[in-house]
Amino acid sequence: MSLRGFWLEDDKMINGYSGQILRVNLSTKTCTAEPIDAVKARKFIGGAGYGAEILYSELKAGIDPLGPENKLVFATSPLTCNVVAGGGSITVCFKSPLTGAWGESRCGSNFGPDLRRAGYDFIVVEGKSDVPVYLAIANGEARLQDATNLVAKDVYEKSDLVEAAETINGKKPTVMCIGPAGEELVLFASIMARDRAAGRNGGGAVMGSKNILAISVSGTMKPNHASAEGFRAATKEAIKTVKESEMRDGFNEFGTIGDMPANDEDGDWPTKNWRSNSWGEGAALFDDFQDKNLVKAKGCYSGCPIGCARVCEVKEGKYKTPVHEGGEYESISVFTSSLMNRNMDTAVHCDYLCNKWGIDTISAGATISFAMECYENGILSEADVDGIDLTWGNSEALPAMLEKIVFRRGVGDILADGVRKAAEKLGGGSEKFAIHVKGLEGPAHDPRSGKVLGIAYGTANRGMCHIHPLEGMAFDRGKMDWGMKAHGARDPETVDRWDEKGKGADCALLQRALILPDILSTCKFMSYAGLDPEHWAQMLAESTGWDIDAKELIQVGERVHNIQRLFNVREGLRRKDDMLPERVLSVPEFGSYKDEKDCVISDYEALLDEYYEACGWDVETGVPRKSKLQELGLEDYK
Amino acid sequence: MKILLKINGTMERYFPATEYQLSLEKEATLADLYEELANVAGAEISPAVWNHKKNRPRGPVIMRSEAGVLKDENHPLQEGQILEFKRFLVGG
Repeated sequence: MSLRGFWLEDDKMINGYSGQILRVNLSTKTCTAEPIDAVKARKFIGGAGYGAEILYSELKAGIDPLGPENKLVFATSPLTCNVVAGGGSITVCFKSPLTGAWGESRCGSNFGPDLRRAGYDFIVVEGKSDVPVYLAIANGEARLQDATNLVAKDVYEKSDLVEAAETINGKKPTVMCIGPAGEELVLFASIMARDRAAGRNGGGAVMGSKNILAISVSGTMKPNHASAEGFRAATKEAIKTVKESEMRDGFNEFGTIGDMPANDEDGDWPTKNWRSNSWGEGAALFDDFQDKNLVKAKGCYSGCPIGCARVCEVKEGKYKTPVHEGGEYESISVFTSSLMNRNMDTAVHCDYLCNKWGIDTISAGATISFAMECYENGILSEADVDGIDLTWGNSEALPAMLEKIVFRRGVGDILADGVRKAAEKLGGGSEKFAIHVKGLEGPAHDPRSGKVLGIAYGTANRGMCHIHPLEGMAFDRGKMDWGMKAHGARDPETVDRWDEKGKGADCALLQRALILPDILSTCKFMSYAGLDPEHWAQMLAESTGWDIDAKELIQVGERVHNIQRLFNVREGLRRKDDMLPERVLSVPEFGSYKDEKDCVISDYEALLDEYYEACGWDVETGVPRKSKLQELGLEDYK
Repeated sequence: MKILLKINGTMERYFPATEYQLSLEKEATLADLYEELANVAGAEISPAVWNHKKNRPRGPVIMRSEAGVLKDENHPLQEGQILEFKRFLVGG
């Protein structure tokens, strides 16, 4: 069924879009369809762009992220569809309960494309239900269903139940749901599409606070493209580019975990709660995973030309774990090097438990790492942790600690609020062990491997994130420019990874391009495998009929980065909130780089000055200047 | 036969030299080249990219010839061939 004319007058249709926002008010139990705003669509496109516009316009500063005033936006774009390279994505935007600031998280799966087939580009979830519900959307119709039977079920059980209830003519819907962690309001609970996660920033807790446990989407609708033939040709060209990329083969054959040995070697592997950036165990652990745990490679959505996901298991023993999608670099790293854990089976098992219970792997591993250091320093006693031996490297402690956090049992109730708040409660100097920016726990890349990553960590709107919007080490160390040399970026081959001068400006420029997949709600790895801003602009132009080129698209990237920044400024965040933890700016205590002073950022303040100048932001405060906002057409966002 | 193996780009960090002239038997394959590379330089290659137990590359590493990427270890090599060893940052 075509959406054209389904909801709107023909002259109001926007090509490429389904044309509809589904607004779900849980307090009044109403679902209403609203038209997409054509002007906003052109300015912010979709994903974390249009989502940011909605949240900036509709939320008041200072609201409780877990109160009914917060909203969740599930966002797609005209490129969210299975024939677009990376188009199997959904972006979820909200005020983060973990950081109190801008929150966003991207998830693979067919949920995004199926949402558009169900007739909507965005879902805005607001209010709070007095009873547990789930939302079912099929072919333009949306309804809220009683979800009493889903309460306390894990992610797999919820998914099974909703799929069974919402299957139409034998066709299963795609389901996103929260697990027990979301229901328990763990501040880093994720929203899951089975084993795929919108993991970071605590969107699962926001869903839990609203009493909405799952959303199912299905349908057969298709948005119109301005030029069906042109869109087909542009998407085919993009797929061809990706498939011919040697990077694609690396992703497919080894997955993201394939980087573990070299990251360890290069000082890009945070170890023992960031006390080092290397460990020397990366190669052996990677071999363990390949030999014992890996089942096969897989795409995380239908039609992916890369297929970087890993299907894995633990075949036998104490940590026997069923076949599932997991084994991502980040997840495995935080459950190995961060904790000094040499047991890969435990890491795979903990990754699985995080999926099953709906909790962000990165924050979970980082929080246990924080707890281990508190234990080492007597801030947490054996009695505090109910007799669990939290000695570094004790793999047996990990599943037990995860369970405590997910179900908020004992010390888990403190840790479930993340390391920043846990350190505030525990005191005793534990804030030094709380490695975060803006309240978001650090992931598994280390800026002591390359300095663009440092400034990217400090300035990312969602907190200490390696990939939203920019994976800095891929420029410094991996020598990637994502097609941005054509738009003024330096040639990374000419840049020393440990130099500092120019890195602030590098980061500012590259963020504008690497935010594009977040705005287009596509997979970032397609940009690694050869898709540059020109590819994205061409596909978007053919779909929407807009006369848009890469230059304009990159400006959209800058605009979105700025409106997200404005969201944070309105919440009171300033320059001080862009600082890095002291430990990340310190020479590693041990490992290959322990005597290597050059690996440490020597003058982060100067780097930040340079970054702000390149962004057109006030150097003293980090607030976007009026002139920059006018240039970007954001003068009305105050 | 003689094969010139070049170590390029981000791969240079993990090898003690940027190229190797390897002597192989006639009709040697890619597998033979790996064994010879292990003989010549194995101990000095970083475990980040080289599995010293298996004498094979580790992780996202490819061997490329002018004709494209070589994957099949039984692929026959040719006299005077120039090969390039590259590693790709996977990301994520």
